Amino acid sequence: MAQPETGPARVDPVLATLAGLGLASLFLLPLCQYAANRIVAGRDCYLLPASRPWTLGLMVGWLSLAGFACLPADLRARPAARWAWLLVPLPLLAAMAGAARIAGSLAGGDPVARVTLASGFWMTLLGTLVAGISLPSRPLSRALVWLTVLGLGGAGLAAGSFDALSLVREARSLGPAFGQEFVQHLRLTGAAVGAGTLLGLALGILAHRSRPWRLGGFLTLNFLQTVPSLALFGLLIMPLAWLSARYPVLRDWGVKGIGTAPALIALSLYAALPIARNTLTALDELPEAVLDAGRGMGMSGLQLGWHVVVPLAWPAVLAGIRVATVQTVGNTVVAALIGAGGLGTFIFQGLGQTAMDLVLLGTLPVVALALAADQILGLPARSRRASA
Amino acid sequence: MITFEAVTRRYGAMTALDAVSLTVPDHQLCVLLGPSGSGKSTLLRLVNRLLEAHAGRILVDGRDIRSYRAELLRRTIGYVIQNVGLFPHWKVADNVATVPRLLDWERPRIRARVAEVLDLVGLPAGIYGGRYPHELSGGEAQRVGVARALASDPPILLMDEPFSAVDPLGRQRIQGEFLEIQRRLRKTVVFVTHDVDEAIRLGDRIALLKDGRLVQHDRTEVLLERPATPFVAEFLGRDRALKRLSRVQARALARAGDPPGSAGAAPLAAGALPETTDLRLALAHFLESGTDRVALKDGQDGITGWLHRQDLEALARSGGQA
Repeated sequence: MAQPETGPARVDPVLATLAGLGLASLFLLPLCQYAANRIVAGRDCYLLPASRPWTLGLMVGWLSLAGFACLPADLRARPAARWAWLLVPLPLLAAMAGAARIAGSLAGGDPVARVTLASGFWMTLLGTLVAGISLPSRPLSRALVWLTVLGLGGAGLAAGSFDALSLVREARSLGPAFGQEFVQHLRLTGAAVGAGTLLGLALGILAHRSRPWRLGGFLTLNFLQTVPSLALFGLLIMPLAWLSARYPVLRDWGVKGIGTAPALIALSLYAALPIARNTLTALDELPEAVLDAGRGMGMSGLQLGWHVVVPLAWPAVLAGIRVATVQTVGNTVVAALIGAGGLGTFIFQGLGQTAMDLVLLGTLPVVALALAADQILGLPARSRRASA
Repeated sequence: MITFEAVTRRYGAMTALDAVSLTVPDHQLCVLLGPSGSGKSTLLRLVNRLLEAHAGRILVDGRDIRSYRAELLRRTIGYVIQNVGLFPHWKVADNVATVPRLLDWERPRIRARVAEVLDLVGLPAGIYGGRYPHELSGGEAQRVGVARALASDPPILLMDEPFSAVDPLGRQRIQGEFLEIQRRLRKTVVFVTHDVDEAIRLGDRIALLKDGRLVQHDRTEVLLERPATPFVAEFLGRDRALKRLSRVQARALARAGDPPGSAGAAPLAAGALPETTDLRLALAHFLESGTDRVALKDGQDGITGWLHRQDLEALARSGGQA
């Protein structure tokens, strides 16, 4: 048999695979685990045997995405195909609702019983995220879809629909501590990225102008990058403790061997590298002819910088800040180990107590923060590409 | 008028320019010609102080350029470079408006002037003003570069190999267009090139440089006719007679001929050459056709006279003075 013409009619391989995996996990992987208490081993709960309406939602969601993936490429490229985006969150919403129902029916009245989210749910979440990234769409509609998912999830949370899930129970038992550490995590990340940006810009500019700085500065930062963050925190404890013992002023400012000060120093240094590197590349690659023309027409140094250098270099610098931010959100987790707080607190507590829900309570917001930072800081670049 | 007085410029231990003295008269296009490394670009960049001379001085209209603030001096001198250097994030109109904006012109005046110079270089502002540099062809970009340099109507233009990045066909055309513009505007132009044909076609005067020294500087015809050294003769080429011819238009030798006969003007015009054809091309026509004379026509196909082969050859022998 002759193969039909390939090319424009090709299937979207990523989306088709995701939909297939999603469907398979529906049958093969448990959505939740039920345990009578925190100690006994859990029992898998599949969504399928329960055959609730949510099963249908999940199947319809994945099947329609699979169908879309099999459409000819020219159909998928039509403007109307952008609406396929609305299909993406369907499986995730159905899985959320299904898990809530299972939890409610198994552990609703029993405060000791635990229903935890299991591999089937995480597969669905992962599949949804990747599908969302692989589908072309405008940033605005993408943001709207995710905000809808978050909004529905938040509404369910507020209405108590997820109360029976152990994750939510764990969060409620933490009380205000969760919010505090979340804010602390944001503070540490923000301050470190801010300081890292200043440091990175300064080093990038210096390195562009002088060879010794290029060699020395980048050697140092590259070396630091190879030191594991925990080791760097440890290395900073000694000198900072000595400094704060020696100069009481520093202690009054909160500089101590452990806590926020060493964390911020280390995080800022890590954040500086990608920003410095991108700044240097951006400056090195400014077209010489453009600078020559600007100078030759009588622009002053400031005018050349403001009208030419900054607008041309800033996309690359912003890309560096984006990488640094995503990286710092993750690095800040480790800062909890030296008493700087943040979401890492829950992760390490949970690891110590083998309480996976507590670990998740630290991990999920970190992942969400990293994704959100990446998307938000990527907006200018995407809109530039869209308009070009 | 631009006067170089014993200008010396070094790069480290290397002397790029060695006591060069040169005067560029007003309203003339002076080509700085020479092999690469001869110092011609360096000499040009000294005029708007992108480089500073280590010895000697440069006067513009009798005033030492070091008495101006460098930025203010540059705003009074148009500057065109090989790689154009348009600001990629600005539209064509904004690029052209650069110097008028630096000079704080009123907005309506800037807008009117931008449209005027874009028209001058053959890129209607209505079509091209809103485009970005990456949407232009090489030739279009270079025309914008010329328009940008002319925007504030500076008396002096510095052009550093402006057309050498344009493809050969486009280069010929843009050279012709630039000659037309220069005939109208009569700027004082310093024009760097290593292309002998371009130098001969465009230059009122040629200053030939070698190893940082000025070898010969004179009117183009004089260089072609009486090269001062064997180097000049060799650099300009053995076909100097032909090159001389390329500077003269056929109408300079036109003779009043017999009035069109009973056959009428129309068939005559079909075999005629445009009167603006240069004599090198006209010679090629004679060689190909084997004829001794050819009719010349103007833009409306009207016969304006006759070019005789013997006149052309006499001119070639006499040294190019029409």
